[in-house]
Amino acid sequence: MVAEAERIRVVVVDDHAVVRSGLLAFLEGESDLEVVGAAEGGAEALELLAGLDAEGRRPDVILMDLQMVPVDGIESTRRIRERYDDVEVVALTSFGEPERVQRAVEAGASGYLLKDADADEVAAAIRAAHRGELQLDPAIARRLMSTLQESGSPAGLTARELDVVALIGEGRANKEIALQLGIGERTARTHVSNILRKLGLTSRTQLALWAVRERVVRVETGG
Amino acid sequence: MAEVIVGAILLRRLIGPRATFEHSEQVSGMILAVAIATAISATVGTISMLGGGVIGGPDIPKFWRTWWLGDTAGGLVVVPLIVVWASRPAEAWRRIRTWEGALLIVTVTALASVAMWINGPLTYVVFPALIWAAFRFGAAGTTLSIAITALVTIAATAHQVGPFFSQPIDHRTLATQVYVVVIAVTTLFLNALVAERAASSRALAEAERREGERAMEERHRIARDLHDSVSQALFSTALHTRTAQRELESNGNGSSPELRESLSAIGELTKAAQTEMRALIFQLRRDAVEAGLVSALAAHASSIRSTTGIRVSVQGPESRLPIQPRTEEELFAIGREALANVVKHARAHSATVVIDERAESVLLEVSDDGRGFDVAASHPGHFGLESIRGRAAAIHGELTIASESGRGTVVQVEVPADGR
Repeated sequence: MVAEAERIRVVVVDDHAVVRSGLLAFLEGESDLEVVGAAEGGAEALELLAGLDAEGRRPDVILMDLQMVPVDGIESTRRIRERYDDVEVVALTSFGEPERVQRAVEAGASGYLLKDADADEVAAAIRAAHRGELQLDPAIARRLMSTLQESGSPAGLTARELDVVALIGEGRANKEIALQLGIGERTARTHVSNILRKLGLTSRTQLALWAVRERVVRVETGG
Repeated sequence: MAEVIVGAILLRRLIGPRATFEHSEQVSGMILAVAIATAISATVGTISMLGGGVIGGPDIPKFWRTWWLGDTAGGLVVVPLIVVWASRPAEAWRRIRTWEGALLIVTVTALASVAMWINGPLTYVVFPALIWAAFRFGAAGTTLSIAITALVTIAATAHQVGPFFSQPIDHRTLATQVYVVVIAVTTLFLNALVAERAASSRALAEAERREGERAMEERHRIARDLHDSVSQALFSTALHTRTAQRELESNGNGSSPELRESLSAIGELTKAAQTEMRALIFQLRRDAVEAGLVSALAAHASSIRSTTGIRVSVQGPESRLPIQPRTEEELFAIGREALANVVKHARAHSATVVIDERAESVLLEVSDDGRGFDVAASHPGHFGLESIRGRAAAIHGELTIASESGRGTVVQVEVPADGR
């Protein structure tokens, strides 16, 4: 059994009751995951998050259905990422909706899952998002690249932040970044959110693409 | 005076202020109005002649009939000519102003003259030309041809030639009048029937188009419903099955192998059903442009060509475009909407649809040589433009609409190509 403190806290947001019931049943049985709540819409999700935050149980990862009314998953993702930048969002979507996925990633989602994924893939996606890994289809990556045009320049970043950017560009997770740079994981997270704010980006995914495009590479300083 | 006022009122009541003579009711209404108005005129005239002692009692029927038929024949020629040519002179002129139109006028004049000046039973030789006018030149050509025929006939009779002059004096006037009335009535009705037939085939094509759209929308709705209900339930079933399998594994290996097999079967079946559902929804969503955007638009263009006569050409690559099926469908809908505007509002002779695959985008352009419109002004009730804007926005398309009065319209939508 994984210790309470180390379990990944998960919130499920989907307007289909059947889907919530399936996800809850499955995720609750995974020893390293802890489902701390479920919501049937964007507004309820924000309320739930505010409550959990007050209790000090802010979730790590949110599974977010994109197709909801009236506040859809994309808008909800944006609001959540604005308020809680350390909460990762994994979008749940249907096949054949690359535009929607693109918009979700622009809004700050760090990955997406098709709604006919295997159960084990769902769990794997949550763990990957928690580690700060990206999962992107190349087609969507290219679409995103073309929308990144107006983002800021590397000039405003500190040397340490540029190191973090370079590692994210290599696809490293927070834990690896922390190890590489000899800093705490929490510090690595703080760097990531500062960088996103400085560059006007919303997600690690965008940051990784930006790093690749701007050719930000790590300069070995030695020692 | 009385007959003019009565005639005007009757015309207005029976056929409306802007009659096109493209409906047989309008033709019968006009005939009735003219007949009644001229009957009043003939009656008033006969009474005053009788009062003035110009004619005597026994002459009354013949005098009245001559007066009435003469006025009616004149009315049936002049009233439609004025109504059609005075209310929409530019449009009427446009129908005639072609080589074929010039040929028609020459032929009608020639045949009407042949009927009058050549001795022999050729009186009705002008009819084929009048039928030609009715079939090809609408009310403008028809009324003009009737007027030309009447003019030639009256001129011939006045010059004391033609089949009617050779008849006994009593019959001469009557024969000319009846000839003109028969020609006017027959040709006007024929023209109305041709116009009605064209209108009903347009309505039929429009209905078919709507039916096709409705069917497509219905398929999309079914796809949405399947996605919202069945697909979600299957996803949940897969999750529950996996949960049960996991519980079974963690509760020791001694438990029922049958249960394990059943769960595994449920898992497999669910997976298969998900795959099938996915294929079905995909099919339902995309069949409008199954064969690709270019060939879908080409098929639509040829149906427009055959129902409206507007020449629509479609140019584009034959290979698959680098865009999502949904984008392709929306582009098809935009193209269809733009062409519907051309048909309904532009009064164009031809339109061109171009699909261009560029480096990182796909461009759809629909242009026409019609009368154009003011892009900046609002067009209440023109949902076509609204629908084009909405659809373009939905697929992140860049929409440009350019138009100038009298110089046609160009609608362009450029959408980003897929990265693949």
